[in-house]
Amino acid sequence: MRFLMMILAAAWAVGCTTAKPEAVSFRADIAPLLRAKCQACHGERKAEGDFRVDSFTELMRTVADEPARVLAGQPEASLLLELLVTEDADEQMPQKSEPLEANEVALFRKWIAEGAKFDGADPALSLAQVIPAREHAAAPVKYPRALPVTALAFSPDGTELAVSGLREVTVWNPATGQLLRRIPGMAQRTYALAWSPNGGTLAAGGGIPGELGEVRVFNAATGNLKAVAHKAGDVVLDVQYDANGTQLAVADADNLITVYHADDFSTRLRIDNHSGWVMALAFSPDLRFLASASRDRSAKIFEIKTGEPISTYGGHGAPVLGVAFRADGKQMFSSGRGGKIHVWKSGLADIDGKRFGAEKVAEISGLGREVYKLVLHGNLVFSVSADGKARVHQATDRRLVREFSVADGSDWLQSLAFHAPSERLATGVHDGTVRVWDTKTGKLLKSFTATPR
Amino acid sequence: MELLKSAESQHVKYISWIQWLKNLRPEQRITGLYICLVSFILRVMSLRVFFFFALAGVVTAAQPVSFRHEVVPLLTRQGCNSGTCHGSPSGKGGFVLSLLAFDVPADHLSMTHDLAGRRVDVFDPDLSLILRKPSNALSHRGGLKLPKSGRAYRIIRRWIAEGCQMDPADTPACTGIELQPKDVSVLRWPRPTAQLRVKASFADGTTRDISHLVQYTISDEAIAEVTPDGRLTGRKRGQAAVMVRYLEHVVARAFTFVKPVPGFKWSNPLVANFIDEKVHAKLRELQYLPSGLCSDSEFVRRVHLDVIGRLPTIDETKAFLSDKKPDKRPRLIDSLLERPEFAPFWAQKWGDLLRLTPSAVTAGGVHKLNRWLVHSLRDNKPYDAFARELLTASGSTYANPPANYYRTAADMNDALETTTQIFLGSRLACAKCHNHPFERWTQDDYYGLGAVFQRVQRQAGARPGEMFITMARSGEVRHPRTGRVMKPWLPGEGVMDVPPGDDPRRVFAKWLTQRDNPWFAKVEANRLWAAVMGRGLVEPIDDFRDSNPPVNSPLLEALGAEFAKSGFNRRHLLRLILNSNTYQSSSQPNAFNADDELLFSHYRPHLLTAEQLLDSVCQVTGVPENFAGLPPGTRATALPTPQLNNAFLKVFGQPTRSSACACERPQEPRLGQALELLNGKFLHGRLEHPANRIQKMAAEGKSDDEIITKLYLSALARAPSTGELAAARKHLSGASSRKSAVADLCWIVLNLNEFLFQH
Repeated sequence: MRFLMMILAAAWAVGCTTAKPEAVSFRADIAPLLRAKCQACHGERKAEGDFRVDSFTELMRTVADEPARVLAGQPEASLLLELLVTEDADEQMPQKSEPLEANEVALFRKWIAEGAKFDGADPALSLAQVIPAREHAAAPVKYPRALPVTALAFSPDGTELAVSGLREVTVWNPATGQLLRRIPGMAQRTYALAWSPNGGTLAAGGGIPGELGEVRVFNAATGNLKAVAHKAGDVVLDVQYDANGTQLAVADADNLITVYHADDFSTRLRIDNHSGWVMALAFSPDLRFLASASRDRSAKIFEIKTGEPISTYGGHGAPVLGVAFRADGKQMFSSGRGGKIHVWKSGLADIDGKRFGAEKVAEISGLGREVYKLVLHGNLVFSVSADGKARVHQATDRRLVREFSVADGSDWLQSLAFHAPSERLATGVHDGTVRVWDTKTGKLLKSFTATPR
Repeated sequence: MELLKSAESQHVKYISWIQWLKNLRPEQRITGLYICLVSFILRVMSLRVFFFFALAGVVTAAQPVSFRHEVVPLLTRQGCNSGTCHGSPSGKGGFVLSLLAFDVPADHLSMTHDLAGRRVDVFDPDLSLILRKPSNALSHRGGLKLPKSGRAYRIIRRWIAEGCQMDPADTPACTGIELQPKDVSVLRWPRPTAQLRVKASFADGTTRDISHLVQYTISDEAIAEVTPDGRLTGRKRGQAAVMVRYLEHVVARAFTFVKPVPGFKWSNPLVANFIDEKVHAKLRELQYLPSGLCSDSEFVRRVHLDVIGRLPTIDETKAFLSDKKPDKRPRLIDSLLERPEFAPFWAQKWGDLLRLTPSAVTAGGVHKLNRWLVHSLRDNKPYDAFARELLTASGSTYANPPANYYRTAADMNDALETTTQIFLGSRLACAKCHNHPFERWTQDDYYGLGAVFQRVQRQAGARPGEMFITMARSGEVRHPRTGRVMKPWLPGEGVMDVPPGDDPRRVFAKWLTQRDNPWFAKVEANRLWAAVMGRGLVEPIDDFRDSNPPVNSPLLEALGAEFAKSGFNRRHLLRLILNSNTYQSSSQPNAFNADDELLFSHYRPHLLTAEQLLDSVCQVTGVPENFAGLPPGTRATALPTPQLNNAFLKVFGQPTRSSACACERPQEPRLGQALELLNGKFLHGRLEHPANRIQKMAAEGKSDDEIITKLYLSALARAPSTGELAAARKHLSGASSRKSAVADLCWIVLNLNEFLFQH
């Protein structure tokens, strides 16, 4: 017995020494370190010493008359490595934090020695976009308490309602309030849900606040993950399919708007224009334009073909949280902090004029502290507000048609979804409740707590 | 519950009970010991696990973390809601907290509901941004404010894990806090250190130790330091106040740090009155020796300038210096207090406070109110009557000049801020928008005081420029945030019920001028002290607050009591101060008081005021200044309102009277002043002026010695020394033009510090 053990031990030892160690991956090994330890001071917004590390291209940038930051194949001649290992307290990086562990420094050394290669598709992408998507922990079987409902989506046939869950998306029967199935594998929070018009896929955007953002596209019926369509450094805030289901637009807290082809998730357009989080998106009825609402207090319209901004509306003076096109495309509705919905001319009729500074038409006020995403269908504008009420206004004359509220007052409403064929409105509440209303009669059809207990 | 789970995991290895006990939070240790004991006993019983649970469950029913009483104070303690960070009006990075926690419900919404609740994660508390960012797990511009290993982190984390609850509506409020140890206020070397603790009392009668939840600040970091955990340690001898803040409760205590000075022996200096007793007591405690008395020359010049605002004439100086009687100083003081120049000079100080300018009250109004001030001071009107007349003034601003008080204070906010600054010595303006950052004034207090002045009406009168001040029968103040109607409020007394038809100003004025009002007498006593001593016991003189204690509290108490007892007789108090040896002390320091600037161990030289300087130059040269619109010979120290186009006065700090703040007269020297004295038009205009009396003496052929002596006597109230005489003689005799040589001499003397400074 002991002899056998010795043979096995020897074989294992030999195996260890002759096994070829894996090459260090920039995406999986280096980028996460750079992001966690370096990017805060050496990123796009703040670049100490003019040294940026927020993408592979930036990291490898050579500056005239300066020592090479990363010299492929020669770690000892690379400034980056020198700064990581130097004993000089003034020069050692990271400067405002503990030095890197020995094994982390070894990774850098090995990566540079192996040629400082980039193993991703596009070297100009930000670190968050190239770091491989991680596998998230499983959702709890039962939730200890209710989760704020931050995203809702009706299935196209109206029989199912997808609701944001804790590291999952839960699918409920909107009529009975019964849990139908659970789609696992999502990041900590989901802030946007979009069901493809043909009902086959469900796109969920969210992330871990402050840390990462993702859009995961699932097979709606089986819950299998089709792709991680989008990655970002902070959470994804809106996901929209266009009316044909051919394009998928994503808004994230890295201030970016990205439009993907819905079939293969290849990137069609990337817009880096806003200076604050992009909170909501809307496709124009003719699918030529994309409108965005941003925390930078502006709402903009972009031409999808070129990515050029066509129009900017700055009348809110406060973060803009929702945006929608009127059915004829000539007017825009946008909502935000301050309890107002602003109505402004889209300026699309004069496309050749390329007007900036869109003209305000009117505003609807007194809607509570904050008004979130808007849904526009036909002549009706649906909104939800922090005062606990959902409302529908007429798009033509902005008259309040109906208010949806419960008698004892409600916690903040954070999300909504509208199913046009059955004229039902679902609202998500901060305390975890989902309410389904009949918009024709104003009757509350169903109210349930959308957390598995 | 976590106590339970951790105990359970340890139950097989009893050696590590000790480690488990050590890891408990302090308030859990007694309970933990109890569990250990019970568990040990039960080890021999078969149902030990069941009993363990039962007993431990009963005993360790832990209280949930209170948002208002634990989490929010930590936001103040860790610096999150300060004015430079998230407490600023627009917050930082989009995260807004109320400044120093004056709006707890809003803070709760900010933390839990804002941005779809991304800042807290009740399911995985360690993922909460509110914990990750300040602990440097994610980049945080504010730096490391909440170390992960610290108690504050653990408390906030537990609050999140318990569901981010807001306190129930019936939670007993905190009624007050107390700094402990109660009777310690003097710390001595070799161990000038104390561990401070704070206890809070609640409306249900309970008390709690909140030492780990409060914010400690010290008024003077050079004297002592206080750590965030309340350890107070002296750095050098002196006095500093520690201020402790817990929600809206603020307490402060002045500490004295005593360090033995080698070779110090109290010399038992003479005492003229109780002022000296109190000053000496403080000096002796901190081991300073007072300097001796000033010379007669210094005294005659000093007291003339302080009491009537001008230099003594040469004859007055000679008479005083040659007087042989022992009580000449008290007699001089008495006579100066009765001089006609006294009232206009001190009226000017009140003109500064009342912001008397033609643009505010018209030219006619300026003269009328100035005359009223002069008469009040000439007749030595008691200060309480003076204050009452101003505060309750109504009617025509022409017929009743004090009514101009409400003309310069043009609205409710202005009236209440001016009143509190002048009569209560408090700068309340910060509390207009939020609770005061350094003091116990809250926004409620601000608007409560505003309710006293809300109904003052200002209407144009019949005559041009006249205004009528009346009281309306209605008019409410609403709290800007809550919308609540505010009733008139008195500091220390609370809300007052004013019967309809009564003037709330009368009720306020009555309260203010009571003998035992804690502020009224002391503020004016401090003001009088500062006027003649060059620095108040509380400095700045209109910044009375617990975190800015007086440098000699017993003295200020005694002065205030004496002032009140005398019927608020200002001349009486001035007489006492001027007769004290403290006032009359020399400005020469000795080895044992050279580094004292605060405690009046020796006289503190300070620059003459702009008006005093101008008048002094005019008096020495014998060339008066003419002021537009005023009779010729009017002196600058009697001006009813500032002459705004006089460059000399402006550069030496004549206030524009746009605010009632004492800071309008800057204390710091400025470059412009030096230039004005070197090359300024005003000074040079007088040096060779034909009416310059020194020049006239030279023209009349008087001797060098006569000229020089007269110059020195006039400017410095003393004869020149032999060395000075020799140098001056040399200059005069060696000069080609006698006129310019005399001008040079004048210029030199007028540039001497001995001339420019009160010393």
